[in-house]
Amino acid sequence: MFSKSTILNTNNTFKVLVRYKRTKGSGEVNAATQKIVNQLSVLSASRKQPKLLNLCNEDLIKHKTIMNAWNLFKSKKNLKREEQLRKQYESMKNAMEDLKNTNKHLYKLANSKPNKKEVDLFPIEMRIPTDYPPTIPWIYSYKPRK
Amino acid sequence: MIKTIQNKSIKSLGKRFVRVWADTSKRSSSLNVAEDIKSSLFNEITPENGNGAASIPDYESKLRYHSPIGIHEAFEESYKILSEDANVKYQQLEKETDPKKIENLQIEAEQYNPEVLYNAEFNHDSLNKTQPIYRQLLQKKWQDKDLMILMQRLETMHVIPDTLPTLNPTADVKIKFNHNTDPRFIGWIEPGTKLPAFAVSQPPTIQINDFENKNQDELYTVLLVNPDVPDLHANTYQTNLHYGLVNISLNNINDTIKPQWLLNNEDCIIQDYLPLTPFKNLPYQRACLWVFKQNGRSEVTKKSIKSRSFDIGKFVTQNNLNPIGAHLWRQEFDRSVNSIREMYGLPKGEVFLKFRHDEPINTEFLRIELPYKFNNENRHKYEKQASEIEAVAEKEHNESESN
Repeated sequence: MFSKSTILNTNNTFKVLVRYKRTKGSGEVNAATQKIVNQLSVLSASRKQPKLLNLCNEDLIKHKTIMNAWNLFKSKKNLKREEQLRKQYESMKNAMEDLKNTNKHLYKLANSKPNKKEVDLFPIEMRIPTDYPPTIPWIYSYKPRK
Repeated sequence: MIKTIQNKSIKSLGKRFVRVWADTSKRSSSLNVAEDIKSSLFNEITPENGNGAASIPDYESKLRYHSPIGIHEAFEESYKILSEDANVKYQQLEKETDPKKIENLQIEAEQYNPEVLYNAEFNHDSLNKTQPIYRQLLQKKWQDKDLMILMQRLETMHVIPDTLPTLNPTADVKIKFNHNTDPRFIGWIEPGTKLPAFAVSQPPTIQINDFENKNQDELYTVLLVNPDVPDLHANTYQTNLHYGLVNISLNNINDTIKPQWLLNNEDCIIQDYLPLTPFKNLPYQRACLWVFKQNGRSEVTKKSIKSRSFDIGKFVTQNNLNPIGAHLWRQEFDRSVNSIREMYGLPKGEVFLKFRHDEPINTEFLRIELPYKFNNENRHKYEKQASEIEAVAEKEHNESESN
């Protein structure tokens, strides 16, 4: 997506840092001190935080605008999805109403639970599998709903 | 993510893309940014080609600054998406007739405009408040910080309920003292700051921004009260009025009460400004500034306020005032108090004991100075009492001599 000029410009402005063999500063502290320094540097907070971006005023507004556009894009997508779901629900409801008025017997059948002895279905009340065991691992007194 | 937006927008926008926010024929020019900022906002920032960020004043820093990679390309695509949305809003606006819905649509059409956001973020002192979007953004900014600071100060320093029972602020009230030259006291004062007497020796400049669309001027009342004036007779404190203004007409553009303007409109002043001059060893005193919206023109004049001693609650109910905002600063005795007392023709200040005792001070045998020169009502009372005490003492003295 980046234009050719950006790549050229970035080549001009961004320095490429290359690390060579260390020539000075080595051997100035003893091994014990170096060990503590290494340990502290691992612990230090600055290593774990990403570097703060210093944006100029224009770029800050550009960043906000990009975020606004992305949020607008997402919200429009969500609205569209919600609208579709609403329509689906409405048509289901209308169909059921229609069935209720035309044939009460069929309506009752459509709304009743399937008999488990006749149709072997997956139990929908079963716990959803999780990464860790639950606090109550097994319910001994469990009886399936009728 | 950026790639999908770009492809989609190119397909969907194509020829339909209109630069609504660049159109100056229908919109106010205050919704645009300055030309130099505009060029670096809508073009790529490349300091090596001489197009550095205009907001960076320093030449060296300007050369050193580089934008994050790809921010400009993403911005251009975002701008297309947002301005397409704004275009829909502007089309709705043309058909709309309900004034409230028109204002909402005007806000919605401009809320993502990067130029408007830039002005609101970085030029907030010089915004055109007739534009609903600027009022909305200013209100949000005020609610996020300044309102919370104000309420915290009003509550912790007990301005509410010591002066009036409570307050639900709807207006941003800012004050500053323009006579100051010391950099510490220049600019808007944060609520609750302790100020020396010399920094408040002249009347303040008051800005009242209530974020409403004002087609015609509205009338306001401003009262500055000090609820910490010692009342030795009753062993308590009393409230004094230090500044009173009524019938101040303000609108969206003219929203500041300046002392210079009041010089030509003396009818508005019901009590002349008198800075707080706390006595030595007293705890700090609060200067509480209340701003009210009037329901009509007020008939209160300078003559109807007889003394500095003041009942703010009674005044508010009598005049049917609606409190919309407040501000406060605090004062203690300092080295400049005596000179300010002299400047305003007040008698020499008193010195109190360092600690307040359980027993009230027996004022009958205490020749105290009057609290304020202007309090003539009290002065007669005190002088009468003093002469009676003297007469009794003289009589007793004569009797003992004759015996």
